[in-house]
Amino acid sequence: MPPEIPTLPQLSILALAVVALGIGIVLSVFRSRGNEKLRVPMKMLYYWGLSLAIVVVFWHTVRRGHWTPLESNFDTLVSLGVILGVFVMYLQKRRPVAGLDWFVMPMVMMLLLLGGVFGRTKLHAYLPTAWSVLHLVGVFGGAVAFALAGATGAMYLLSNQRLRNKTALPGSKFASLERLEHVTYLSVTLGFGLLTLGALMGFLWLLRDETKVLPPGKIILTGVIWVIYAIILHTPINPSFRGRKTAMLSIAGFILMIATVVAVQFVPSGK
Amino acid sequence: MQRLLLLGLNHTTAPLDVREKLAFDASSQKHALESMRGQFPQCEFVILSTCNRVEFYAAREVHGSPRTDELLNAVALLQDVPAEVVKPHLYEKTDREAVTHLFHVASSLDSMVLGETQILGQVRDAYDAAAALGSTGVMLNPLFQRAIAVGKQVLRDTALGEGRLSIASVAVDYVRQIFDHFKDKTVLSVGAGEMAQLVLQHFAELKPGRLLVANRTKSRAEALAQQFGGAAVDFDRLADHVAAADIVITSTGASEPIITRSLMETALKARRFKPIVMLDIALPRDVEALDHRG
Repeated sequence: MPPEIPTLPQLSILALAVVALGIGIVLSVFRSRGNEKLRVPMKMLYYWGLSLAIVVVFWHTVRRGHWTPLESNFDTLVSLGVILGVFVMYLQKRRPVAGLDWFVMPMVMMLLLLGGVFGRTKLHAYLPTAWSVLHLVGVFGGAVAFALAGATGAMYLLSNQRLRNKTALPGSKFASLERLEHVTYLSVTLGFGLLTLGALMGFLWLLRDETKVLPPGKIILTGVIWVIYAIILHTPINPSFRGRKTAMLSIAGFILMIATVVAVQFVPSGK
Repeated sequence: MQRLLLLGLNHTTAPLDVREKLAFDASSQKHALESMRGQFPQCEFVILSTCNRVEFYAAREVHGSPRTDELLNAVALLQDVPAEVVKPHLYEKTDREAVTHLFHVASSLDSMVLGETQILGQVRDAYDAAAALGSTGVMLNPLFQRAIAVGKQVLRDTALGEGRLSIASVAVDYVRQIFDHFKDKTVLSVGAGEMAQLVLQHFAELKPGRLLVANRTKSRAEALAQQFGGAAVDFDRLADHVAAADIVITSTGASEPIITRSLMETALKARRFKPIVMLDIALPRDVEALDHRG
């Protein structure tokens, strides 16, 4: 069954969501220079942007006529963007990580945009089997967790450099290095579990579906990503890897992950 | 008629290793003032020596001594430093410029931390030390008294003093950007003097898990530790205590580093590369210059 193509009204609302998030980021930057009055408008714009994206997901789901998730590029990427955005807003409410929205909300915007673009241009449907669903949940869920780890890794490096040089970045200080390292490690732990699950399910899906051919590049990239995060997870055993090295690895892993996700769109995987 | 001469270097003109060569402690400052008064008996002198600056204020006859080079040579001889090492980093001001500079310094406008309140006390201490030796007179007495009054006024009447900044508060702020929580952290103070007390006052507010004080004189360490609910530890086992500490503050008057590179490397390995923050607020430095790690 061909995937449901997102309609122009849906894409318009999605674009509006992206704009709202973008303006929210700008207000966040200005707020960090001491203008606390921008706090409420900034939060409202974030909530508005995410709410609009959720509306689009629901609308798309209703049009499809069934509720099975992860059926196409559109609902997958937009849903991932929403999950990442909502998770970050929850984290900022519970135990804020100063500056996190500057790094994560652009990723959310990117996911929404990619969803809109690939939703119209790359129409291959994800086969709705148990293996495929678990595979996609694992791989994409891992990608979201790694996105967070990549963001906090980048923040760690910037903050670390600033502290060493005893200079000030424009805007607010980020969360402490200890907190950033902790969030990175937690995100990598979660993402690694999901990626392992997703990779195994993908392998089982391949075994069960004789029509499916997996491009070797995808296997290699997934393997490299898995190894990178396995190294990060072993920092308690090899503590010389903590700090900057962990941050750099988490950024490298995230970039590879994104490259894999995007490359998959352009590489056919069937006979 | 008299002329005012200022010769000095600070954190913007000289690196730390040059500043520490020229720095004076209380006893060497007294000796230097006595020596310079002996060499130039008709002149007035004040020496201002802090961790970020060393400045010599001299009042002399218009065509008298010391001239700049003479003053520099006298200081270099006292501190056993080649004059050519120090000369490129010096600034020289006379008369009105020197007065303006001193007023800026006393008002913390020339400080590394703008608005820090310690410098005013340091200017006062420098003046008091010189006045007690009879090293000040008709020019430097009113000058320094006025500078201190101006510094007080600036900190009182402007927003500059609102943050009540000090090196200690900036150090705590810095550490807060590294560590998220402090209940499981150990703070070690090496040194039990006035600076250590000031810094521990701020660090105690973080409520660290353990607060340790190490000092060559155990009784002083015990007194300071008791003040902040901490514990005095053996100075001879410094390596062990550094390995156990997450934050180490050093403020001794030692002329050579007491925390050497090899001690740090041993401590880092013992800590399994857990982060450690070293805050060295002494001049000369207590911590040997290290490569950054991690």
